[in-house]
This record gives sequence, C-alpha cells and structure tokens, in this order.
Amino acid sequence: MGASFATQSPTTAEIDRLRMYADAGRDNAALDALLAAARTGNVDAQRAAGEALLNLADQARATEGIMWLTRAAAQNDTRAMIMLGKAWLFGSSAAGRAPDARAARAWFERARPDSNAQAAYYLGIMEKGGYGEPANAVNAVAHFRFAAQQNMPEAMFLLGNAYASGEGVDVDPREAMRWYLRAASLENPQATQELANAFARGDTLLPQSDFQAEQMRRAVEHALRHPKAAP
Amino acid sequence: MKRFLPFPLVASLALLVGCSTIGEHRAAVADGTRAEIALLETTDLHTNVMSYDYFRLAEDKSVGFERVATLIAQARKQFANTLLFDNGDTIQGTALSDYQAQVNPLACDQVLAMYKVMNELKYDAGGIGNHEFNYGLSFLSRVTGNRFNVNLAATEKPIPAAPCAGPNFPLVLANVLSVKDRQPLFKPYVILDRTIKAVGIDGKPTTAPIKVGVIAFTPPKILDWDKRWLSGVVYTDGIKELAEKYVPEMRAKGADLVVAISHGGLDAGPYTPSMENANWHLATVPGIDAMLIGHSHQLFPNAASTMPQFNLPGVDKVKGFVNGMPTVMANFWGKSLGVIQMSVVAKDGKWSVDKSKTVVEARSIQNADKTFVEPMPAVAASIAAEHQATIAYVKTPIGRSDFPMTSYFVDVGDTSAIQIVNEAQADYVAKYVKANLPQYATLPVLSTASPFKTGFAGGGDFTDIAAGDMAINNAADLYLFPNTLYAVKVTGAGLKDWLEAAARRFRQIDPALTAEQSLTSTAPGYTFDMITSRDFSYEIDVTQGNGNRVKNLMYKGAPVSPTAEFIVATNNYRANGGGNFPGLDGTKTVIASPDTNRDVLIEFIKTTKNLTRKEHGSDRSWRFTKVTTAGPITFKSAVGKLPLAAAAGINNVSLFKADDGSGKGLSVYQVDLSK
Repeated sequence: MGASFATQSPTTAEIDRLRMYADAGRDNAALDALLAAARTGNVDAQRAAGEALLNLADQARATEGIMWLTRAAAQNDTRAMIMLGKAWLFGSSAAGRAPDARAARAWFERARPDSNAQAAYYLGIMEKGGYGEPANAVNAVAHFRFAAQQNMPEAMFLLGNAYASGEGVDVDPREAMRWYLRAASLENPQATQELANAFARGDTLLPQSDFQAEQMRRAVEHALRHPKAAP
Repeated sequence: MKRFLPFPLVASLALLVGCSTIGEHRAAVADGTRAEIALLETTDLHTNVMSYDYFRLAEDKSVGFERVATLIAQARKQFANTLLFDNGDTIQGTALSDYQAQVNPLACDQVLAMYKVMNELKYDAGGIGNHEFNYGLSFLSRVTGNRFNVNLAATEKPIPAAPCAGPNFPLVLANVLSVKDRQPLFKPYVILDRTIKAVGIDGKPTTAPIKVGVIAFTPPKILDWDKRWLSGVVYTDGIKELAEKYVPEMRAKGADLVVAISHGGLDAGPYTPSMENANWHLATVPGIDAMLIGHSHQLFPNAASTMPQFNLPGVDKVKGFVNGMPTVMANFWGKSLGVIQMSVVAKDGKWSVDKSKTVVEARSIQNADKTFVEPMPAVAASIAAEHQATIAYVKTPIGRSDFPMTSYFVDVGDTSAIQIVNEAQADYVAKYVKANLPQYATLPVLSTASPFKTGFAGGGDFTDIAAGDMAINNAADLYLFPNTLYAVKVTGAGLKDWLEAAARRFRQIDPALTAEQSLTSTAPGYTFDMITSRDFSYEIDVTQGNGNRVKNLMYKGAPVSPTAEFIVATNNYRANGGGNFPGLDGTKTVIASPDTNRDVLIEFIKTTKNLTRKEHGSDRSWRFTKVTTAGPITFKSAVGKLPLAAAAGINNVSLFKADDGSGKGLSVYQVDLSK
C-alpha cells in the first residue's frame, strides 16, 4: 500500500505520511519508498528513513538509520542534527551506542541553537547539568529563555525553575510563576503541578485556593494521560 | 430503559428516522424549501456522568453530563431540528470509568454507563478521542460493539468472538488503521438519513429528507501515548489526506451536509500528516460544512480566550469560525454544550447551507449568576447502580495496617507514611527492569518519596490514615498527586546531590546558639525526598550548609562509590526537573510508566494485604548526624501528637510549646539532636 504513495519527488507531507506507514504501520513498501527517495538525495526522506530505521530495534537497521540521519545532517537538516544529538545524549540501545555528551553537544551546536528551540533546549540542559563541559547556569538560562520564547513548554518550565532558584539569573518568584503559568497553559504536567503547589500554599500571583489546587491536580492527571514525547 | 420519555421534543429527528430508507430514491426536495438545523456537541466528557467527585465522595456541580443533558433538552425545545454528536474522550477519566474497565470489567452484553446515558439522550453519532485507547484495544473493541481485526499486544485479553453490546449510535473514526489488514478500525464515516421539519416555499410547514455525513479523526499521537497497547498493532494516517479522500466519497453517496468530528485543536504550523492538532488545516478541505473539535479542554468560540490556538490567523474566536468553517469546542467534563445553528435551503433537489445565517456558540452549565443548571434527573436514575458500585469500590478495603500512617513527625524520622510508597515503587521498578531492561539487571533498585502534607495550612494539613482497613481513597491521601511512576539511572554522586537537595528542608543549625532555632526551612515538605530501605543508610548533618550535609551513604554495609550506578524510582515531576533537583532534568529517565504512583501503591497494598509497622512502617534510611546543641531545636506539628512519635520509635522529641500562637492547631516540638 505504501508503494502507492511513492512519487518521483514526494512532498514533505507525503514523506511524513510514508514515515507513518513505515514506522508504526510496519509497511516495508513504504520504507522502501522512503529509502528510494533518500537515495535520490531528498533530505526529508533521509531524515524520515533514519527515524523509522532507528525505531526498528535492530542493530543493523538502527546503524543504517544513523547513517541516513548523518547524510541529512550533511545537507544542513537541523532536525536530523537534533535526532543525532539526542541519540548521543541518551545513547541508542538499538544502535548499540553508549551516551557521549561531547558528541551530543557538537550536534546541538551545529543545529543552530540561536534559531532552533530544540537545540537551545538541549544545550540548556547540557550547560545546566555540566554534561561534557563544566556547568554554566547563565548560558543555560539564555538557552532556556530562547526556547521558551519559541513556545516550548519544557523550556518554560526549566526557565521558571531558574527564576525560582536563582540559578543563572536573579531569583524572582513572580517571574518563575509567570513561566509556570505559560507552560501549564500548554499542558506541561510539571508546571501544572507547580501551580497546584502554589494554589495550595498561596502565592503572590496565585492566592490560596484549595479548589484551584484540586483543579490543577486534575489537570495534571489529564495531561499525564497523554504525555508529550520528549522534545 | 426509556426513562427519558418525559422530554417530548427529544429526538424530533430520531422519531422520524427510517422513513427515508423505504425507497431507494428519495423524493427531491422542492426548491426554496428552508430548514433550521442545530448541531450539538459534547466533548471530553471523561465519564463525568454525575456532578460528583469520587475521590472526595462529594458533589461537584461544576461538571457532569447530567447537567449538559438539561442543556441538550433545552436546545431540542428551541430548535426545530437538532443532531447530537460526541467528540470523544468519553469513556475514561473518573473512578466510574476505572470501575467499569478494570475493577469489575463490563460484561459483553452490558453497555458502559456513559454510553447508556448517551443512548437515552439519542445521540446521532460519536467520534473517538485519544483517551478511548487508554484501557487497550480489547476493551475499546468490546465496549464500542466492534470486533477489531488486529493482532493484539500480548498483554491484552482476547476480543470475544461475537460483537458486544456497544452504544446504539454509530461511532466513527477514519485515521486509525490495523497493521494486520490495513483497514480502519472503525467505520471511517457514516451517512445518517434523517427527516427534518422544514418550511416550504409557500411558507407552510413540511418535512423533508436530508443525508448528513459524519467523519471523525483522533490525534495521531495516540501511538506515543498508548504505546503499550498500540505499538505494532495499529497506525495512523493523515487527517487532511483522508478528509480529501472520504469527503468527496460521502458527497457522491448523497450527503447533503458533512460534519467533521475531530478530536484535536488548532495549529497553523505547516501541515504534516502526523501533527497532533490538524484542524486549522482540516477546515480548508472542500466539502465539509462544520467542524466539532475537542481535546484541548477549552471553549470555542470565546471572545476572551488568550489561548494561542484561538488567536491564529484565520481564526474568528468571537463568532466561531476557522478559515471560514463554523467550528465549536465544548470545553470538558460536561461543563458546556456546543451549538452550531445552520440554515439550509433546497436548490435543484439538494440542500445547501446559507452561510450568512450560521451561528456558533458554546453554552455553559453555569448560569450568569454563577449558579448551575439543574441536572436531568433521569440521567442519575439510569446509572444509579453503576454510581453506587463505584462509590462502594472507592470505599472498599484493599488492605489492613496495624499502625497509623502519618506525617506529623516525618521531619524527624517517622517514615510511617513514606515507607509503603517507596516499597511499592521499588517493587514495581525491580519487576519492570527484570522483565524489560536486562541491561540494568545488575543495578540496585532504590526509591524515593516525600511527604505531601506537612502542616503548612495548620494542624489539619498532615497525612493521617488511621490503623485498620485501608480503602482506595486512602491511597490518594498517601499519594496526593496523580503523578506517573518514573525511574532514573543515577550515579552514587548523583544520588548524593539528590539527597542534598532534599535536605534543603532543614535550616543550618548553629550548635553554640543558646536561642531557639527552627529545624525546618521554607523548603516545602514535598521536596524532602527520602529513601526508606533496610539496605541503604545516610546521615543529614544540619550543622553544615546546603550541599554539604549528606554523609556516610552506605549500601548493603559498604560506602556508596560516586561512580556506582543505581536505578531510583520516583515520579514524572521529579524526573523531569520538578523542584529543580540537580541532574534530574529528563535525561536520566529509564522508565516512564503510564501507571500512576498511586495505582502502583494500591496494587502493592492489595497484594501485601496485611501491613505491619515492623515490616512496612519503621525503616528509616536517614538519621541526623548527632550533635549537642546549646539551645532548643524546634519544629511545628499538630497539637497532641507526641504518642504517635513514641509509637513510631522517635524518642528524641518532646513538647516545647503546646500552642504555637498561630491559631492553626499547631504545637511547637523540640528535637534533641544528640540522641
């Protein structure tokens, strides 16, 4: 069935659809169509094939997946760079690779953290945690702020934490709560839990309310039933 | 069970259903015939049938289908023709849904309480949300009256050979397909034949046939969210592509109107088939007349909305249009009813919508004066047995303890309300690692937990579960938040950093000071993570500053090496950076379970049954480093609780001041750190 989607030069949406068929749909014809497009140099197809192959839990295919991601990255595809960065940061058991913080950092740096929220978010985490290099809380906050400004709820939450703790920025509980509010409006469970805590205790922005605290707990419960995948 | 008959105008359409199926070809409607149709939407009901909170065991008037039902009845009186649709996220979300799915699973010939009341309200059709998949495909197949042709995940119960009862209105879903046969799980769309009340060109009332096509979509992200049931079993296809395929097909089959029920919100980013909220793009597909959306738990239209998704280009949040498409989202938990009023006029024997007359609104169960509309009594009557059974389930003893589980003295070492949580979490993680993560099989499994209530609001704000029978709702007292269980892989150094952050709960004590010093800081109790394992021990030296006070970490009698590795059970909040603990930033997670810590605790208590203090309430891994202080070291707890400390084996506390002066039922207690 996937083969019926293969065209000479598939669009980005067509490639995403082939990836859905190849990955979750276990559709080998779709995977072959992706690989065929990847071999023509189509960068979307290279990234999609890489992602689908990495998910196959087979070392040879996962290694092939890394190869296609690397080919896409060589064409300046930032999304492929992020996938490679994550593969190094977390390690890839499928590809038989242990985590390597320096390699991860190099991919996130290449992915343009000054214009890419995901790259900024992961570099922020690496700067904060001191992974591969000594920790630098000020740099971490700058990365989280950029990603938060691009509407990434996970970064908003960590920026809120920075303001709450004063790590890398002047401590400012109200600013912390503002970022938690923004992240919670995007259903970030951790930020919503901070709001529940704030309502339970009473906060300068959020007056004490057991009712609101309970509403927030229910919102956490709901959000956790469809947890967002890691950025 | 037709207890809804008192409502004369219920289903003015439904009473006439079937008339048009008599002949193959229906009579053409005379040109100029007009009719008003209101499309009604519920969404994200989450089995809030009753205005009731099963964990507090108390009424909650701000939610409940029994009140939306009143709005539905009112709309049916108001409009000559109505069609009632549900958007999904319907069968999961309260203790009632858990009861019917997991505790006392619904028999094949029975209908879910939620569908039962929807049957009686005469729904015309429904879509499928993402939460419909939460209990697995076998359950969904049964309760919807289907027989999915899928190769189920190994942990699923088989699907019965004959279809089960299901609701008596069609459920449709176009974009989830079986890996086994590459066909949609549900009917992708349905075409409803209805006869409506109309007005002829002569101004006289008449009736006329209409065909209403209904297609539905769910977020493709279900494949992530319910991976354990869906991985390798089903896949999703692009919402826009399928609409472009099926809508012309529905039109070719004679659909006069096409309604898209799409469980999702709006996102104006570039279209991709895998995007979560595709409806901004779906609105541009030709041939659709109205969109009923959901999933985001929001109101649309809503002039006051600050939600980014309702402030996108092409979105009229005042009138309820998305790229020109009339669109409604009816909030959640039965707080609102969505209404799209449309005017149709016949031309060349076909109906078409007079778009200038379309009106979109979302009606709240809350009146302007903040009161709530009255419930429809028939709803409660219809599911009285299921409601009572759920209340009984929530109150059912799941185990018994010979000791009270309290947090009054948790800051000085009473682990009676903590240890059982840690045991349950560690047990779950150890079993999970053994079954699924062989690469970590040699690593020790530990668990941390913290007290949720430590007297911030006064003497009543502590965990306090009496000895004796424990019920489901006691588990909610022990584990206040509906967090999900996570496990992280940390080093010995990382674990020390974690415990150091937890020890911020305590102020730095100057032993030479003769004045009274408070033991605890402003760090909330819920940040005081602790280990309670016989195999693990550590000291907290409160005379030292933050970051330098956790000492003598020992595992099985040997010092913990900074490079040793441990798997530590915790929750999604802590593992993803909650409380800003060093290194806990989402990168250490090795298990992200969909199960809640609370459910894991309930299962553990059910299995263990008899909880003794000796086995389950007296292990404390941590102690204060002994120090003699010149002045008193004090902390606050509820009045009159010293006997509990003694019973828990805490022998270094005494009463310092019976009344702390706050008027909140607190005493000041003293702890002798030299003992």
